[in-house]
Amino acid sequence: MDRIEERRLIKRAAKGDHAAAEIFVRTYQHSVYNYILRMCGRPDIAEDVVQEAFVRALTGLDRFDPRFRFSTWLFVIARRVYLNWIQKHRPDSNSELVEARGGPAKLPETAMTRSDATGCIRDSLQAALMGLPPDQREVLILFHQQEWSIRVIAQHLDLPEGTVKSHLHRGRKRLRLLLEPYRTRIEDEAEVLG
Amino acid sequence: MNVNSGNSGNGERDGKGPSGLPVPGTLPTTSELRRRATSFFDREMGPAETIEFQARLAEDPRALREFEATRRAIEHLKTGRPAPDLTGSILDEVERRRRLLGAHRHARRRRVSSVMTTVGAVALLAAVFFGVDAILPQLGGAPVAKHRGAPPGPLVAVPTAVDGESAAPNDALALQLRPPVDASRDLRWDISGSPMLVGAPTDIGRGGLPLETTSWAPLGTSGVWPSLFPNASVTRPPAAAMLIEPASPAKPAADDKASDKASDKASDKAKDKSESGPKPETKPDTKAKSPR
Repeated sequence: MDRIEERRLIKRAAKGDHAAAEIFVRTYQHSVYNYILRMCGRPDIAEDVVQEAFVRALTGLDRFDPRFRFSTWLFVIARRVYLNWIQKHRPDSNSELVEARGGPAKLPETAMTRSDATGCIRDSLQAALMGLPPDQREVLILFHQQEWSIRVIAQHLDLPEGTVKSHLHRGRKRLRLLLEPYRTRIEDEAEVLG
Repeated sequence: MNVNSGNSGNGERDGKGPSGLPVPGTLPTTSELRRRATSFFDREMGPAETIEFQARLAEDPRALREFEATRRAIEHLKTGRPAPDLTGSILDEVERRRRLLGAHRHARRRRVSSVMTTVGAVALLAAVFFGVDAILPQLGGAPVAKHRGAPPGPLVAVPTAVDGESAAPNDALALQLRPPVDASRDLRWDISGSPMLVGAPTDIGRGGLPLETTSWAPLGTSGVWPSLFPNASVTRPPAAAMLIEPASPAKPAADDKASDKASDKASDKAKDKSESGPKPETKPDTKAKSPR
């Protein structure tokens, strides 16, 4: 979706056009959902946050600044909604974080199918991600999962580019160390996946 | 074989020439490979440099293992979980909130319009009131002076008026305020005529005013004064004088003459009677009471 098309859709959606709003939701819901899911590690919270972020964005389109991309704006809103959720549920969040840091996830003893293997890798990765400091985790997700540039991440997080790079480097190193206990299993699962 | 710790910045020891490109035949160290891996993962490495880096990496198993572990983690990070379709719920919620916002805005607009209507009505009433007030004098309505005071006279007349007032004799002013009192009248008449000084306390009615009673007696002839001052001599006023009403302020001259004549006659009779012998105390006529 180029910028001209995006602005046209935004005008239509701001006037209450359902079809235009639906295009935005279908285009961005997957990326926003995975961003939030990686940040919090819980699908139910990710769904709530994504829904709230879309609703806020689509009901506040008259405040949208056309200098930015809609996706950037949507991610900013989603991040705020997620941070608000953390503020409201701080004790729950901390206890889950402790759980996540508890150690390697228990793997099933039966022979793994392809989906099981994918799930195990995903769980291991999520556990390792939750062991990272939030800023490093977010920078890693935005850079490697969402494939944003360092400049855009720096703007999004209001950080200097050097700090973003530093977070990236340290986050990758730490993630690798956190994944070390899972390494052999991940390699086995990778073989299963072919 | 890590023999080159702290070698950053040294091109030859890093396996790079002065231009920054790797020198052929020299082996980059593990830390150098790590640094180049970082720039590879940061997407800062060009295609040619990437091929050269991967070739060098294959020669260092430890760096290769670290690189592969990191690359695999990032690959897994890229493969996200399939998101549930939230389109319907999101659009429904957007519609619901828009309706709420619309209703809220409509209510606010309605409230503002009602306030504006009220203010307009008040302004219209005020305008009508002042308009009628301005038009009425022309139609012969309420006089202007009643509302706005007398039209101002010339300022020159003010000192003249003040001088005139100050020049007027004080006696004339006093006469205007208080009618002249006959100085020849005996003050005791006024005292005896006052019902407040005689009679029993039980005769006092509401508001401290005396009740109508038939046992009026002139001061000094009955009541408490003789018992308090047994040796005191009191000159009784002439009995006939008690029958004379106080002069009315409307006819001061005629009443004065009449009262003078009456008092003369009464005094003559009283002299005659007093000479003939003591008489019992006469009750004053109720007409002797001063009119209230």
